[in-house]
Amino acid sequence: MISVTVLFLGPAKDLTKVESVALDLRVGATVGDARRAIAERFPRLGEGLSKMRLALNQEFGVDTQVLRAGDELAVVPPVSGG
Amino acid sequence: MGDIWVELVRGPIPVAQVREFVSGDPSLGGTVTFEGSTRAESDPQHGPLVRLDYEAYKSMARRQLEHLAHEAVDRFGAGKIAVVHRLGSVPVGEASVMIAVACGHRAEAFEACRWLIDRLKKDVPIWKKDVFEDGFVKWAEVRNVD
Repeated sequence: MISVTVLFLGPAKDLTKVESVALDLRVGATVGDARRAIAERFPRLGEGLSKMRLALNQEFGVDTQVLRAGDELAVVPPVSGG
Repeated sequence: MGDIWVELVRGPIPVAQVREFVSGDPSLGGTVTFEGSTRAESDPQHGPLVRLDYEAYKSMARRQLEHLAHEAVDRFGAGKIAVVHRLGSVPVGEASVMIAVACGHRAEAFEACRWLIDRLKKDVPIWKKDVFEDGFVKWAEVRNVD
């Protein structure tokens, strides 16, 4: 198993009620696997999660990217800066 | 090559410093600046908007702003770019973001500045809440206009 840190930002944090969690995944798990695990653990994110981008180590990721132990994965809801 | 300054600040945008950063190179004949401010609005139920409260995923927001500025240098040949975004409370009438771009000529400067604010609104992890006079607070709706 590997452990990654998942951050919930902006409106996502209001739905999960936590800012971050440690998520355990099998070795070789991808960003897409993490998205499914997050959806299961935080059903309140619900369908909204499909509109949220995931950022891996501060860069927008694609679901096929493989995660490594200690990675920082952030749930990034649609942004509203400016 | 292009000089770049990106910053997230608390408190008012240092407008004079932003202008100063993009000035001083006589080969850069066109400078465009954009300031986006909290617009006065009113909600039928909650009354006037009093301020916007901004928060960011700061490490990534800085990094994304740097990527965008570098890309603007490559795309438009910008000589100097400054992008400053304010976090925390921004009252109605005050600026939340300022972008300044200096290029050889005006056309690229206008284009680069427009491109930067459009991309910032799409890809930089910053969020805001609307705060109304009666104390009602809600996350700003994500719109692809203004």
